[in-house]
Amino acid sequence: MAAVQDGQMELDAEKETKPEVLSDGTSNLSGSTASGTPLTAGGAPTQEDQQTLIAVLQFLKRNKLSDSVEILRREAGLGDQEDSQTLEGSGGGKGDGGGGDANSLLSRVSIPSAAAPQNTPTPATVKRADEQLDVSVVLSAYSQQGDPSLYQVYYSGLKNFIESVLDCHRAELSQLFYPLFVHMYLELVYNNHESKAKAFFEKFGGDQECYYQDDLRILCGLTKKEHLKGNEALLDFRTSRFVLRISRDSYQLLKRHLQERHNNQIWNIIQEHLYIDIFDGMPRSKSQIDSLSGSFAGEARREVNKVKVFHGLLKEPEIEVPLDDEDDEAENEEGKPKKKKTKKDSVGSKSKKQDPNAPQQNRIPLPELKDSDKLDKVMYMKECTKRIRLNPENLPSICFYSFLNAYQGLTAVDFTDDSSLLAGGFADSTVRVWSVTPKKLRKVKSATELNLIDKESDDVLERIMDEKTASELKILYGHGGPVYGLSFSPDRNYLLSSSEDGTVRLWSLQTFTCLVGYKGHNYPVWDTHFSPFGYYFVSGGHDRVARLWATDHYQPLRIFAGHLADVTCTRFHPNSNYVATGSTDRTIRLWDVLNGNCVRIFTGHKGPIHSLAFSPNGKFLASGSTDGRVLLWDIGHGLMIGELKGHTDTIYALKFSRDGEILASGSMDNTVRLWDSIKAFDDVETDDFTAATGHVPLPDNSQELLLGTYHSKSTPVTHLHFTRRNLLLAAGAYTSQ
Amino acid sequence: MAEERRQKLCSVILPTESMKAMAESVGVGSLQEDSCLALSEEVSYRIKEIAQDALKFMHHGKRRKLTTGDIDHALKIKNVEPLYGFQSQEFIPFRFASGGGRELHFYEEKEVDLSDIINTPLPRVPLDVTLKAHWLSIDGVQPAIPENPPPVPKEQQKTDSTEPLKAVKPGQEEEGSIQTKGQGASSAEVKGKEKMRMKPRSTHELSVEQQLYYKEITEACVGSCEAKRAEALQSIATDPGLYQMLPRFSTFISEGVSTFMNYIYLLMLLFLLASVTWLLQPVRV
Repeated sequence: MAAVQDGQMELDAEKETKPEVLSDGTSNLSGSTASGTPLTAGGAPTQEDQQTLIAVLQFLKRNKLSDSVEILRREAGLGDQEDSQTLEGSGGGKGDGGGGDANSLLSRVSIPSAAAPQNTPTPATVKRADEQLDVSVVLSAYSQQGDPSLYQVYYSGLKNFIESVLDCHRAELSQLFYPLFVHMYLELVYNNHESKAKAFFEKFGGDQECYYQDDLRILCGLTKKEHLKGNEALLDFRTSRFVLRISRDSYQLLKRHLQERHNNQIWNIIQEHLYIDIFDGMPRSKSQIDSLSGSFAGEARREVNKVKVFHGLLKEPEIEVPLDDEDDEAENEEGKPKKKKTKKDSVGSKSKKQDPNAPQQNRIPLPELKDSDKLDKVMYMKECTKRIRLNPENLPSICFYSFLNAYQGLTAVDFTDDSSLLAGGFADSTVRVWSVTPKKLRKVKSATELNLIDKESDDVLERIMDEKTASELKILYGHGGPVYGLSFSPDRNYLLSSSEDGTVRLWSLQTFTCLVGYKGHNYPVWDTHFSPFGYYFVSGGHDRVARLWATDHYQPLRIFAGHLADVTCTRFHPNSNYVATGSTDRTIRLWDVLNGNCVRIFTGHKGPIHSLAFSPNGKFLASGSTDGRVLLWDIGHGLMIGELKGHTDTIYALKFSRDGEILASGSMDNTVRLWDSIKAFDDVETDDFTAATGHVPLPDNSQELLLGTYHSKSTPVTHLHFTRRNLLLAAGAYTSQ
Repeated sequence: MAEERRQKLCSVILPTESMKAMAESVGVGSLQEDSCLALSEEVSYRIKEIAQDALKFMHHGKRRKLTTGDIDHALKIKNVEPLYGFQSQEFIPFRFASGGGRELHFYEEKEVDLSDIINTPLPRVPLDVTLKAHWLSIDGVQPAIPENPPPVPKEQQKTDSTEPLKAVKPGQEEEGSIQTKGQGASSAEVKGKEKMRMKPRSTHELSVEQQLYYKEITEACVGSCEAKRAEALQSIATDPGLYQMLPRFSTFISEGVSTFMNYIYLLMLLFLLASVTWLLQPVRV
């Protein structure tokens, strides 16, 4: 079986060494308070100055100013120890970290030098940290920017200015408030001005937008520098740049105002910590801004979303479909296969020639079809012919599978593609597999019994199955913590489960035993998903990375790092070339499997994202989060094209119907809602112009798109699945309150 | 509003008395005020940190209630030993004691006799997880089977009918009419009015008959003839199918109250209030 080279591991796994990096942070943070003070010439440099000196040294080295390096080293009295930590050829590891955005996000302010002695066992970490070191960041990250007591004055000054500008600019410039507020507050905390920080927070904290309240709550508890060090998400926030999209006119206004005041620290802060993505066009209205903001690090830069994404589907392989028995007419022998061929084409790509949006067939190596797969495909075709066409007048019927007596323990559910098996993951670390059809679950006989059967008989495949222990339910034991993610393989042979114990387990559905445990995340793994062609799977967890694995490699093939907080949801694109991850930092990122790059960043949710669904044609992505909204994204253009409001609680389940006409969403508010996705995608026009500005005016048509709401009896909906014939299956645990 | 929001965001820390009490329970005699303050700040921050992590476990566990298990998992992430003795209890009861000048809430750990535990019969094994399937919706319509929640109650229907913003969907329309049928709507008049309601959602027009009725009632309510008023009030209270007129009646009453407040027409006020109470009688469709 062809496999992607696993040597090409993304070394962005610095998150793995979280505990170590924390200790880095200690020394680093003290180093950065060196502030803009010039190098103290002569005398033994203090610890802080040392850090600065070393940083400058590395900067000089990087720019190949060897003479200056020598002089500096001599004068500052720095030894040769720095050589061991210099950045040599560590550029290869990081490679393409997904655009400048990821670069800055990953640049930890950890100065490796002082921390290196503690870190020598992991040279990789050191090299990486060195490489990412951005001296300007080091030297000025939260250096003393002026009198702390004047911060309130600066902020109020800005407030007054923004309130006095024209209406059309005010909404855009108001975006500045939140990042400025947070950075100023963190600066005060970082420089140990606790009381002033508290006063600052009290005065201006209430003015911020409501969707930032969660973050503000976290912030108001943070009053000490030591606490700041322990919070990785905020550390990343400090070093990353908050992205704002402002139109050119508004930006000119702001710039002019701030540059008029020479001692205005706000301009400095903007330059260091904010990235202002200027676009030419009409200033955005408040609602447009609100729809895209809410993420932890601001919006996405437009360049990030400009990478070409192959969102088309791969061509279905040619399979001879056997003729139906019912068809007796000889003359239709030609006709029937042809009809089935066209049916297959409508399931796959539109025409015989290559879809320009589809990736090459061999862009990533995919497993070859086995005979059993071909039989499956034939079954699939037959089922397709019987598929019900759904539209707003013809809504799907919904069959609800309730888990009774689950005692609040159901944490994950999955169905096989042909809807014959249902698996539930529970908080007591078990995985239970049920057979939904009358056919019972059988496992393969033990080795001693297998020796006894006649291997030459025709029905050997039946004989190897143990009839005595056939049952409707099989329980799989093995995990050490609640099972948060489940995924069946497309060929119904394997089941993946990810759990709080940090492992992903592969279970065989022939023997109902565990085959492999993939250890890589050392923290809870929140979700896992098999590729639609099998063999590859992706998992995402608390360590803020998503990993791509192949079933026959014990180490991940790719590590997708870039999120600022846990990765809560992972999904493969139907063509298996891209992976979407949703995270607690309220963004969704699309990653390229081939090289690990982040190709899209979607912001707009106001809460952690818990469900993702690709449309069957591969063009669109739907996402649901704790804020109760479903957002629709156009992958090709990288824009938000729809917002579905209606749910009142977290949306845990999202599924498109088999032909993409209906989007079903299930949530904690005990309802299943059906939405008209064809209308939602048709209504919005996306073209190059709108893509250039980065936003599309969204119609507020949630009500029109809502086709039906179905309440269940106090049963939150955990999972949704459309059968091949477009019958909707829903699953959830009955909670008795 | 901004004030309230601000107050909510102010950082809350545990009181320093709690620090003293906890220190004493461990054996540390006298703790300085300063150290108590520093301790409480640190402790409060850590508690908040743990709570935030525990929230993640709660969300992924598809629950709304934070359990002790979530806190344990959050501690595990932070490499801290879990707390022992707080497993699987929905509600941890604290006992309150006040003595020595201090109020204290503590978790009472009862001493249990080992022989009692050994000798009591085992509790019944709880039922295992089972799977049950039922139809949530058939062709877009929710069947009225016991596994589905009961059809939309009256209050919901009221809000549905009086809020023009909620557009009509074919599925929901059917649902609505089926549900009213299921409830055994009293008269054909109701059904007729319902159907009338469903079609022209955007224009809230009353039929001539309804307009006359409205006119009569309002005049009678604030008029001088007692008998007429009593009859009118009775009619409002008991007549079914007055959906469409409800908003008009309420506007009339509110306008009446605001107008007559100025002129201290107490009588008028009384009559209006009487009509309100009659309107609110529970006997509605």
